[in-house]
Amino acid sequence: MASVSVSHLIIFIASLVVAAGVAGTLTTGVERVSNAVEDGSLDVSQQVRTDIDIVSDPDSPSIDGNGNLTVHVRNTGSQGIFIQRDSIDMVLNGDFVSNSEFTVTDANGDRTTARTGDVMAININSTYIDSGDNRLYITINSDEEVYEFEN
Amino acid sequence: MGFSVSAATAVIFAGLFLALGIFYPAMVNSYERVQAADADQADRALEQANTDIQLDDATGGGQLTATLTNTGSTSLTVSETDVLVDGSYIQRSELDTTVTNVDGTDDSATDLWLPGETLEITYNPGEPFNGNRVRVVTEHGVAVSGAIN
Repeated sequence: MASVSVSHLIIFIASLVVAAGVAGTLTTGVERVSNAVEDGSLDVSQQVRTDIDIVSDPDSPSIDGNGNLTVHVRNTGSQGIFIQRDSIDMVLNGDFVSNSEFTVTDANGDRTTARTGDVMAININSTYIDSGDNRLYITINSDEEVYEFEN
Repeated sequence: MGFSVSAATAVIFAGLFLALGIFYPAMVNSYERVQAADADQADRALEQANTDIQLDDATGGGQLTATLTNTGSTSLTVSETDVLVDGSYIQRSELDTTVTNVDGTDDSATDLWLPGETLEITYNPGEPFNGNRVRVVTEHGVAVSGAIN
């Protein structure tokens, strides 16, 4: 009779261990997914809030004596943009402009973040600029703008 | 045997409740965050559609004087209005602005450019000025360009 009680006790403990394992795995998995969803929503909301606009005149692009192009970009969204090369991706005439080939500064001072209404000046190396028609594709935090100009 | 099943079920249900308790606030917060950003974008789109400016006149000579009218229905910020002459960006600190109210009074200190009001922007580079084309960009990226007479 005692052996029956012992075996019942073992089965009871085993069932609890299995149930606790299942519940623990489930909770851990759900927590991980929840964190990912929160991170994803943060990214999506920042992408929705980011909005830029090209200020530069397509009719008379600002090209200096060395042939370098300056494009002015205005932050028209409700999300600040860091004035640094890592924030900006550009493709000019089909060529990706690498980070070492352009500089970005605050057009009205020396701030490091462009808030709503602020303008950034992007200076691109002359090697990317063709004579004739040019097409610049700017992406900042998934917001894309196209600037077409004649050299 | 019967009690083992009940106890295991209770533990699993407790785990399910805990998981739901973790998941629900995360989903609600995420949804609200994206919803708020979306509403903000819709507001901006509406304001942009309601914004319109018109270049009345631009004269050169010793200095550039551009006269613009707010023909939209949104109030604009004078200090966030940008001017480009022949493609070159003019820093905001180099611009002098005067807003003429609807009743005709001038105000050079105000930062508000309300619907119907006229904004006169003066740029004096300190040297003979010879630009051909001016472009004015205001809030939401709304722009006008024209020739300098």
